[in-house]
Amino acid sequence: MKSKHVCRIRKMLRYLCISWVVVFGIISIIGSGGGGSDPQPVIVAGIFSDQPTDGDIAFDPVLQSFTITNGPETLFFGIDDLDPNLPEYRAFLDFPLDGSTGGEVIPANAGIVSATLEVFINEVSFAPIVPTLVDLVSYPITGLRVEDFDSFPLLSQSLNFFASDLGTIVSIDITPLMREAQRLGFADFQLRFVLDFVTNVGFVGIEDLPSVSITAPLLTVNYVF
Amino acid sequence: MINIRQILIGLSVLLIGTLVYVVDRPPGQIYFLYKSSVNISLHNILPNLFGCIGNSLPSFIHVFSFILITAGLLLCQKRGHIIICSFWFLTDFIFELGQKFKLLSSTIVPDWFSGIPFLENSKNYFFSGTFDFNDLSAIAFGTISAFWILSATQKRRES
Repeated sequence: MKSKHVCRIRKMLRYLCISWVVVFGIISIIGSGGGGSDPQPVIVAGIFSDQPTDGDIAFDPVLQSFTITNGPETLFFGIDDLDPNLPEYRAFLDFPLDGSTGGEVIPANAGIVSATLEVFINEVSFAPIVPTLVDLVSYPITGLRVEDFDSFPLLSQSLNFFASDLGTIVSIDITPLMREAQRLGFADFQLRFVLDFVTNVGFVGIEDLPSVSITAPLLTVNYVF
Repeated sequence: MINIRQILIGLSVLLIGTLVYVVDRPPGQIYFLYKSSVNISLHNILPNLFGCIGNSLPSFIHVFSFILITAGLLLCQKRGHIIICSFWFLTDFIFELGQKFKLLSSTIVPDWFSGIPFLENSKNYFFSGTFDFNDLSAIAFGTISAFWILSATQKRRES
């Protein structure tokens, strides 16, 4: 009886050891950082937004109407408290990944290491902190449509804009969104800025002047290929 | 009941594999080294030990060592050896292949890995690592060599 127990314990210990060996074996592959070869160089690509394809859509809840603006010099999102109808704006940015506007190309099978969006903020109104959702969306490059206002986001992330961001370039880590766009094989990386549903106060302007590269929305992608 | 000879061979060879990383590779490339609180890297302190063989040697050593250690612990016969060899060959092969299909690999790795030690390097492993046919050959050669050693040490145990 006793030897049976000892046998069982030995068997359990052996399986425990083997499980540990398997786990350690797999971890050692990951931890050794890439098998036998040198790591690939990371390529950095900077892509400006396609200004004519950028835009915003304003929804007037009183008139129940949408106003679409393609290629404005400032993209707005949030609620404009100066307007008695309190229209809600949503801003859209388009970054061609295929070089169609003369920018750099992100190869379809590139692995995204990181992606950062830089935008110049020229208005923050009605709230010191503006909770924001950045959605990965898909809309036609021929122009925004009414249905793009609340189309279902493919992926979202949240961030806050602050009153102190006014007049500065804000850098946003959007790596998960870029990876998803790449996984879906999009030729254009398109984002929508929406006032977070947790609030109904705040209005932000993103500068998007044509041919002024210093403040133009810029997507920087680090990738391996 | 274990086969201590197989385990010792596996561990010894694994130790040689560790030397490749400690001596020949820059510590910034190796998660284990740059995460370690103690600087154990001898890169640029000792001369390069393995030369160009060091590029694919870890792939050979990993599969070889873990086959021997696992088999030594299980103390199995030829059929068991084949299963163990297949398991480690496939594991190493899939990880190597994952470096070729970076996008697919990155979607398979769950996001919650990012907060867990060791596993947090998974995405980086696939993104930064390079798929190499020499590594695949080394994995295959390591598997065959390990199987041969298993057969040899098994025979000695039985005789």
